[in-house]
Amino acid sequence: MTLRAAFVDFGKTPLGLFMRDSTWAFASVQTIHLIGLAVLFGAVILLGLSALGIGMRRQPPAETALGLLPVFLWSLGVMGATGVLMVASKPLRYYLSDPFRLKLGLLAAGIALYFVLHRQLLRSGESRLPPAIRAGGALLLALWLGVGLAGRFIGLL
Amino acid sequence: MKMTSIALTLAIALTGAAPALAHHSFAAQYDANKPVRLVGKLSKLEWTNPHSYFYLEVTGKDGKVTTWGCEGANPGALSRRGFKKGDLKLGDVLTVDGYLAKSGARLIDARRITLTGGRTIFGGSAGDGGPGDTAAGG
Amino acid sequence: MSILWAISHWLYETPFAVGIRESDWAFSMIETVHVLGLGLMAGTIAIVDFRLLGLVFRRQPVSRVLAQVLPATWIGFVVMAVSGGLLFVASAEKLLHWVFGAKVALLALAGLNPLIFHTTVYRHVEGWDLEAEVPLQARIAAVTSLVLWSAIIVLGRAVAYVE
Repeated sequence: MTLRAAFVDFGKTPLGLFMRDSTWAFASVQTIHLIGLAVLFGAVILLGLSALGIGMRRQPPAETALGLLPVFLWSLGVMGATGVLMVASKPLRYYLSDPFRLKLGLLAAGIALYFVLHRQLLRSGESRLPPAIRAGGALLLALWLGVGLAGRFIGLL
Repeated sequence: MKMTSIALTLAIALTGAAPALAHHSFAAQYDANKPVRLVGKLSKLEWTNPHSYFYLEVTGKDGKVTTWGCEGANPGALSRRGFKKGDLKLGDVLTVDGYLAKSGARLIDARRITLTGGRTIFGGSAGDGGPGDTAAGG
Repeated sequence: MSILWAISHWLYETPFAVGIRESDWAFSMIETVHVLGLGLMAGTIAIVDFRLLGLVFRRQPVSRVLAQVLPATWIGFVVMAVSGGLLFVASAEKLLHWVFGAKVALLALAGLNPLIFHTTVYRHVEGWDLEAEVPLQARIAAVTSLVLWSAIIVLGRAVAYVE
């Protein structure tokens, strides 16, 4: 079975049909996706600023990383679940959408980099953060900004 | 912890308000089982964000003329489909294919617009199953 | 009410408003900034609220967490206010709907909430900065903040639906 066929079949499941036909489901799910987006981006921004050394400077970066991880994980879970539900409503449209594909790629990279930075920050002491971590912080913010922009473009194009 | 549960519950309950206000999500406002074709004279054009609107004067079988609204994509999306505001004049006869609003209002979600002269613009997206969508069904 | 309509109608017809409203890109970009700015404003506020509820950064003094996070929140607020203001100008008279009115009302409450917090219980934060149990009033302010901002986001999304 091709990936495209799998997407099409996903839309024909009871969940897919429900999401497609329900008067209220998509709107509600999308709204929760927005609330989750706020929290997720809040965590990412603060971790990025901490890695960059321009934010959260009055506490050890390790503390920042530790504190933000559950926020990141929970909100990411919400985003994933609501995202899957929205795709279920019209999977082929998402499958064929270039912004959607780009978003997923950036998302994978953004999640991976978040975990890498998290681990690096946990190991960092009180000393000045090395350039690699600072660069990582900048890249983290850029990647997640990309995720947000790509997500918006799904609906705009 | 209990306070957080209350807060989260309230926040989620509030999203229940979203459906009451959900006019524009396709499924929320339009019926995919009710495809409609309208033919009429353009009486008003709103080339606006977030949605464009084409108002047609449609003559019914009984001879009565009624005004129908056709909700289209944003100007940027229309422009990417080769469609500009200047392509239309008031009085032009348009054929618009779309889906009927669930509310019973004289409003359709315009998926395909055929201009006088036969030029066609697709308002939907590939894979959305709308009129003229060649991707869906695969 | 009619003066509100008059001002909105006047705004709606200005070339500036028409320009944004009929733009190929500008409106979408402003709207994108407004949506993504949520992270900077509401997301950081949520994390502050989580600290007050003892959910994150429990070993860090409350005052220190706020001092570090709130600058980002303020920048976010400016981003939201400017982008929101531009969106309002572009659609002015179309926004005279109870949904938008409710959003504005809740925004006012969302501004009042921290004002009360900062001028009352937070004045004595040194007394509870590192306490395991944050004062009830502070926790109520945190829950109120989370609920209000969630509702504002719901209404904000709904505005685009009823326009």
